[in-house]
Amino acid sequence: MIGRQAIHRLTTASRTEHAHPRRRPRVSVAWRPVIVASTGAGLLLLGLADDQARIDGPASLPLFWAGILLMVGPSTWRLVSPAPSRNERMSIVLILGLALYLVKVMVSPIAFSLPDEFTHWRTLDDILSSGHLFTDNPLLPISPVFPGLEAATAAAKVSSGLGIFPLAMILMGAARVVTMLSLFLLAATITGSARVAGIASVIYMANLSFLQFDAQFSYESLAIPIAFLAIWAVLCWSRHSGRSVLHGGLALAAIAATTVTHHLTSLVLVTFLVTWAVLSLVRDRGAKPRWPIVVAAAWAVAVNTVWFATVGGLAITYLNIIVRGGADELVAVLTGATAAKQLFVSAGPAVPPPEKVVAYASVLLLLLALPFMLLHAVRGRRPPAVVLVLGLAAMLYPVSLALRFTVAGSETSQRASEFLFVALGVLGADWLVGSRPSRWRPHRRQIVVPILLVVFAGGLVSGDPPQGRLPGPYHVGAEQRSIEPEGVATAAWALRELGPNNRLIADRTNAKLLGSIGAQYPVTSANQHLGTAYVMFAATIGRSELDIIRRGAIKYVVVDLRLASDVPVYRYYFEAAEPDAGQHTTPIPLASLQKFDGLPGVTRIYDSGDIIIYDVSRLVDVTP
Amino acid sequence: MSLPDPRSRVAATLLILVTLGLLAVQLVTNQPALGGVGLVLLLVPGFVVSQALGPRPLGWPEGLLTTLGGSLVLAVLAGVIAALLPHGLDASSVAAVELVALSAASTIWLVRLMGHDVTWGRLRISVGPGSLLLVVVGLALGSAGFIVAVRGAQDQTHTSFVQLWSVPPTSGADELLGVRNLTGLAIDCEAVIIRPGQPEYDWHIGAFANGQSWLGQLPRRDRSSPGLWQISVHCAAPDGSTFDRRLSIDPPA
Repeated sequence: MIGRQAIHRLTTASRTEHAHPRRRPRVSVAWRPVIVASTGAGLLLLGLADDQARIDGPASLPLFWAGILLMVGPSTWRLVSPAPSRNERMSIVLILGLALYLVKVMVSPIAFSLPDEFTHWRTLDDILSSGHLFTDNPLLPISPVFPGLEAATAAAKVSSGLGIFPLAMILMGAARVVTMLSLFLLAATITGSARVAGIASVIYMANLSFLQFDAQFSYESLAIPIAFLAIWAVLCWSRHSGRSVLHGGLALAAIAATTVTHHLTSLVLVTFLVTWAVLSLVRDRGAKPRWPIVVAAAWAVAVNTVWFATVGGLAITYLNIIVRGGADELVAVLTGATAAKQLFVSAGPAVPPPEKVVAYASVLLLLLALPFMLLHAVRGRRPPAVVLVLGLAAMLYPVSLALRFTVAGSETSQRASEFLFVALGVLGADWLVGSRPSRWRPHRRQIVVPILLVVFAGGLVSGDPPQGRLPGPYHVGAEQRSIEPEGVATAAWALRELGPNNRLIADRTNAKLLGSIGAQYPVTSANQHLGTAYVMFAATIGRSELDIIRRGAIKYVVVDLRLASDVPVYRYYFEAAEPDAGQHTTPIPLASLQKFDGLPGVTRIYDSGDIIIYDVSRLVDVTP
Repeated sequence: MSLPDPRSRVAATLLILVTLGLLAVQLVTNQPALGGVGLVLLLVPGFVVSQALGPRPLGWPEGLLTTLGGSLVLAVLAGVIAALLPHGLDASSVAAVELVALSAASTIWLVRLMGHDVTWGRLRISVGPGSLLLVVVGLALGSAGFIVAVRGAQDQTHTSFVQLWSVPPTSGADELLGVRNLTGLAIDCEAVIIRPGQPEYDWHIGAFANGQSWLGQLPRRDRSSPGLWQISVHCAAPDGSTFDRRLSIDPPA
C-alpha cells in the first residue's frame, strides 16, 4: 500500500483525463514510466543473458527468465487492473510487444542468424539484381512466388540506400507495432473493452512463434500483421455501415497485400472472412450492414484465386505435403502404427525440468479454460458472427496440440498457434475480465496475473528450446547456432571467386549461407528431387552417387568436417529426406566426409580448416 | 466540429511536400533520393491516406495503425507493382508508383483541409519529474542491454581461421594461389607444392596482417608431367598458433 502510494506520488503529475471534462484532454502517464523502467531493466538483463550464453555461462537462463519477468510481470499486473485508461493499456501493449521484439533482435543484433532469414535474403537479392519477381530460389522454391516482403524491402532499399539488415530490422519492428495495434483494436472493437483487449494481447504473445519465429525477416512475419489489419479494417468498415472509405480501402488493400506475401496466412484470412460472412448473413440479421464483410470475403476469394491460379500453384502442393504429412502421421500415432514424438527431446541441451513443468501447466490452463471461455462467449446473449468465428477457431486448439506428438505435424502445430491464439486471447480475456458476469472465472488479480504469466512462459518454452532463444557457441545442425564466421566467410568467398549460381551439395547450414550470401545453387531433394544427401553419407562414390551428381549437374561439394563431431541438434545434417533423419545416434563418419580426397577427377580447391570445397565437375567424366 | 490546428497542418503539409519532392527527384535520377529519410515511406503514405479518407479524427492508436499499417500495405503493393512493370523494380519505378498513390491521397487531403473537414486532436501529456526520470532510466537500461548484446555479438564474430584456395582460371590466364588471414593476428606463411615429375616447389609467402589477402601466381605446369599438384600451406602466428591447409589442384599447362 505504501509502495503504491509512493509510486503514485512519484509519477503522477496530473489527474486522469476525465477530471476536468471542459478542458482539453490531458493524459496521465502515471504507470507508464514504471513500465518503461522495468522493461528497460528487463532488456538489460536479457542483454547480459545473451552475453553469458555466448560463452555457455551458467547464468544465462536465470538472467533470461529474470529479464522476461521484469518485462512481462509489471505490464501484465497493470493490464489486469481495472484502473488504466484505454490509451495507457494501448501504450503498455505496444511497449511490451516492441520490447519482446528487441529480445529477438538482441540475440543477433548485427547480422541475420535464423535460417529462414537467409532464405528470404536470397529472394530479396534476386529481386534487387534482376528488378523482377519470380526468380528461382533454391533454398525455398515457394518464396519468390509470394514476394510481398521482399518487394516491400526492395522498395525501401532502392528509395533509402540503407543496408538490407538494418532495413529488415526496421521493417519487422514496424510489423510488430502493427500486430499489437491491430490485435488490441480488434479485441477492443469486438468486446467493447480496452481491458479485455490488453489481456487478449498478452495471451496472444504466449503463442509459440511470437518471440522468435514471427519476429524474423520472413514472409509470414509481415503477412500476419497485415492480415490482422485487414480483419480490423473489415470490422470497422462494417461498424461504419460501409460508409468509411478509409476502412474499406484499407481492408481490400490489406487483403491483396496478404495474398501476395504469404500463402498460409492468406488462406487462413480467406477462411476467416468467408466463415464470418456466411455466419453474418445467417446470424446478424437486423444488425449493422453485413455487405462489407461479404465484399471483403468475396474480394479475398477472388484475389487468392487469381494469384494461386496464375503464379501460386506451387503453394498448394507445398502446403498439401506439410498438412497431409502431419495428418497422416497423427492417424498413425492414434492407431498405434507409429510411436508418438517425444516432447522436449533433441540432441541439444536438455530443457530444464522447471521449464517443462511450466510448458505443460500452460497448456493445461488453456485447455481447462477453453470450455469456460466458449460458454461465456455464447451464453446470455446472441453473439455476433465474428465471435462465433473466433469460437470455432478456439475449438481447433486441442487438435493443434495433438499434432505436436508427430514429427511432420509439429511445425504445423506451431504455425497454427499464430492464428488460434487470436481466438484464445479475445475469448479468454473476455471470460477473465469482460463486463458480462461469469460465475466460474478467477476474480482476484493475484490469481489472474500468475495464470497469465504461466501461459506466457509456457508458450515461450514450447516455441523455442534454450538454444533457440539465446545465442551461443557452435553446434552441429543447430540452425542459428550453426551460423558462424567461417561459414559466412566461405559463402562470401564462393560468390567472389566462383561466381553465382554454381550447383553444389552442402549441409543445411552451409547451404543456407552459400545459397544467400554466396548466391550459389545448393541442390536438394526439395528443389531438384535428388537425394544429394545420400552422396554425403555414402562411404564411397559408387554408381548411384555418380548418377545423382550427373543428374544434378553438381559442380562442387562443400564438406564441413565439424559434422563428424556430433549428431545434429535438429534432426538432420543435410535435409529431412536424408538417411536416418531424426534418428541419428552417432555422428556421420569422418571418412564419409573425406572420401572425395584423392578421387580421380576431383580437385580440392578451398580449405579453411573446417570447410573444404571439392570441384567434382570432372568426376563423372573420368569415372567409368 | 473543432477548427484545425494550424501548426500541425503546416508541419504535415511540409512533410508531404518534401516527400513528394524527393520522390520526384528519385523518379528522375533513379537514385535513392530519400536516403535514410526514405524511411518516411513507412509513415507518410499511410498518414496521408488515413487523413484523406478517414471518417473523423482518429484516436492515436487508430491513427498510428492506419498510418503505419497503411504504409506497410502500400510498400508491399508498390514493390510488387513496380517489379511487375516491364521497366522492373528500381528507384524510379518505385518512386513512380508511390508518387501516384501519394499525389492522389494528398490531393484529397488538401481538399478536405481547405474545407475544414479535417480535425486534429491535440494531445497534452503532463509528465512529472519522477516520471521523466523513470522513462530516462528505462531507456538507458534498455540501451545498455542492447549495447551489451551488440558487443557480445561482435566479439563472437571474431575469426580465427585461414582461407586457402586456388580456382581454375579463365582461359589463358595463370592459376593463382590465394591465402586470406582471418585469424585476428598477423601470420607468416609458407607453401610447399608437390608436382608429379617435377621438383618440389617451396614458396615463402611471407607475413600479412589480419584481414589481408595474398595472391600468388602458380608456376606453369610442365606439359610432360600430368597429375594433380598437392599444395600445403603452413602459417604461424606470433602467439605460437599454427594453421595448416592443403589443396589438390590440376593447374593448366
